[in-house]
Amino acid sequence: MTEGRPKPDVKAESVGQGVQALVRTFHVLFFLLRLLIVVILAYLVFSGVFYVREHEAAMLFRFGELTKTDGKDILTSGKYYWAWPYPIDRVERIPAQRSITLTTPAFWPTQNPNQLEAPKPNPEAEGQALRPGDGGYVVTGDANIMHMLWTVTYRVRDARRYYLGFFSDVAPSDAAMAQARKGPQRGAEAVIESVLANAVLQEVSAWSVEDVLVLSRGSVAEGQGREGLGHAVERRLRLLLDKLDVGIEVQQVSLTEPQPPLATQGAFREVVDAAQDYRMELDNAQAYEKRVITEAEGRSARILADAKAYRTRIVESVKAESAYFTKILDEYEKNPKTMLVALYTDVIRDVLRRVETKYVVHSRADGRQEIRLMLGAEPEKPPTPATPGEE
Amino acid sequence: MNGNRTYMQHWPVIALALLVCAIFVAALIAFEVKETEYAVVLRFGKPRIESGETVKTYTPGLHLKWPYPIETVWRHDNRLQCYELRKGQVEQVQTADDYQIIVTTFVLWKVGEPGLFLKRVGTAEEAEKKLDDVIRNSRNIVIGRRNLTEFINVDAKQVKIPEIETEILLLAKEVALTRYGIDVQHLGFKHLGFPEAVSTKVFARMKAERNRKSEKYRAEGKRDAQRIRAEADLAASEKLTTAEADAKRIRAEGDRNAAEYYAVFRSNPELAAFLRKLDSLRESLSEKTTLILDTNTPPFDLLQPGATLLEKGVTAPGRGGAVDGRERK
Repeated sequence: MTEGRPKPDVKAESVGQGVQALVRTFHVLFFLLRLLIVVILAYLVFSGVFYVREHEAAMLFRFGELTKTDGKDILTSGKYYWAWPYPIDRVERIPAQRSITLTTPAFWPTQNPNQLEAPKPNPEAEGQALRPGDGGYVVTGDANIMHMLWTVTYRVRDARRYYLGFFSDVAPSDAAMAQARKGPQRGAEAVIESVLANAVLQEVSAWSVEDVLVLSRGSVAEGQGREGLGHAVERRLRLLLDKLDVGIEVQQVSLTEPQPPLATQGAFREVVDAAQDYRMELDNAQAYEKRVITEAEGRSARILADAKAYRTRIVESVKAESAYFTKILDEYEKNPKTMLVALYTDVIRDVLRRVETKYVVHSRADGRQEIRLMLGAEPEKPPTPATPGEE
Repeated sequence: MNGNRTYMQHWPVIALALLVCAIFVAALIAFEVKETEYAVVLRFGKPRIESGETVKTYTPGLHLKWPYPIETVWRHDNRLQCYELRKGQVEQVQTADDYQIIVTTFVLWKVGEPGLFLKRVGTAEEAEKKLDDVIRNSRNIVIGRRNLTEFINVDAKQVKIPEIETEILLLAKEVALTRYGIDVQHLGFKHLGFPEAVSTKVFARMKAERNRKSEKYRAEGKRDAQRIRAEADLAASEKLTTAEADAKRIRAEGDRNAAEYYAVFRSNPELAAFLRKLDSLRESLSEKTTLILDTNTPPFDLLQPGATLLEKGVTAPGRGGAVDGRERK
């Protein structure tokens, strides 16, 4: 009877094989899981290592709270540190040693903020008004309008104050800058940009346009007794930022050449031309002065030299004459007639030898004689050469 | 024994499960407060009260709360934020002396009363809208009390912009804090301008000023040049006059020195005069001179009849003076 023999349980056997395969799979999975945990632990340990570069100031926050390392809030630069992974620890880095340059477009004509060059002269713009909110400018103390581009260079002096005291938003090169011509919106850079604009406005409001044009360069204007505009704005900006305690150090404030509005550029150029004319007139007059005085000095020297020569000559001449006279007198006293005739004829001979034209006229008995002289007679013309072709 | 062995074999699973559970629980009941923010716990939407009506705020660090939806955390940055007013940015404001100006203002603000801020404002964007209204009102009131010369003036002492800014700040600060919990810490003008119509008039005036300046330069150039030339002529004339005076003195000195030698001529003045005449004659006649002489003049008297007679001599100067022979006739 085949019924007496137990049949092999095929189903149970196949289940047992499946369980075994599953167990094997779990073994592999558990092995991989162990490996993963080890890798994660290793990653957690090594990813916590960080280096604070020389130009940086770094702060370590644990669960949001600033922690002190070696008794200080700011981690010493140039060293390695270890921190727990996020979200336990978080490291904030501030480029404290790097100079940051920021330009305020608040007083510049509306244009792409990435192209902050001087406005080009445009005849069509002559007489055009400046629409409020559309073109930046600054009003001077004498109610003139000027365009200016101011730049401040600064560095972070107190990283803790800079980071914890002032909101930090997106970098100025990002969306906020491209959004319009507003620059940074809410953060520390927005503060610095706004305070710079405020310092410029406060300072220029007390300057005449002439002073702005003349004293816009240099720290102290020579001979003007007033510090340069750039220096004055820098001083005012430092005061404002110190009052706000932003934690930055202003290194330099610079002003690009102030520009008059397009509508008045022709008139301003005319002034520059007139100033050149003024300079030219003065130069010409000074050249004349130099020439005239030099000539006068030359003539004076000549007059004095002539006088001195005369003095020498007259003395020597009279001295010679007196000597000559003394000698002649001796001979004259011996034989006056002969001496006189000799002297006289010597002179006449000498004179007649030199004179080109000599006329000797017979004396009439009554002593009267008519002689006609043609004064200023025309000189004889040389013979005219024959014209070519003429016989 | 066998069971313990099995547990030990699966320690990674257990550790991972515990870690995940711990993180999950921590995420539900713990929250972090940063140094740079305020945090207020809201229980069913209402802030936790510390004492009286003061809303409880949390120091930086890790804190516990009931899980969502029982308690939630409201956060806001506690640092100063800069805001340039948008509303009324190009609005004309009238000064006390009836000038229209346009003033752009910026403020530095932060949350002053977190509870009040949360209740009345909530977000930074909403805070900026409130600031627009508060600052605009304060600005218009204060500017309306000031003259234009207190904004722009070539006399620096007359410019009162910092004082005006402080006045607006004080006025706005109280309203913003008591009404919205916003602490306005600084306020400043970023731009001061004129309305569009005024700017064209300013340009016309600027052009007129520039033209006047040009004319002034040119006129001053001519004036200064003439002055320099006149001074140069004067200086030259003075130099020549001085030189001529010196020359006269030198000549006089020469004549005086020469006069010492004239004494010898006193022994025979006629002879001296005769010799001087001869010198003068020799020096005054040049090559181009036309000389007309008559036959009475020696030696041309030789051309007269009987000139061979020796007794026809020359009269001595001491007795007749002239040498032309006419006196002899």
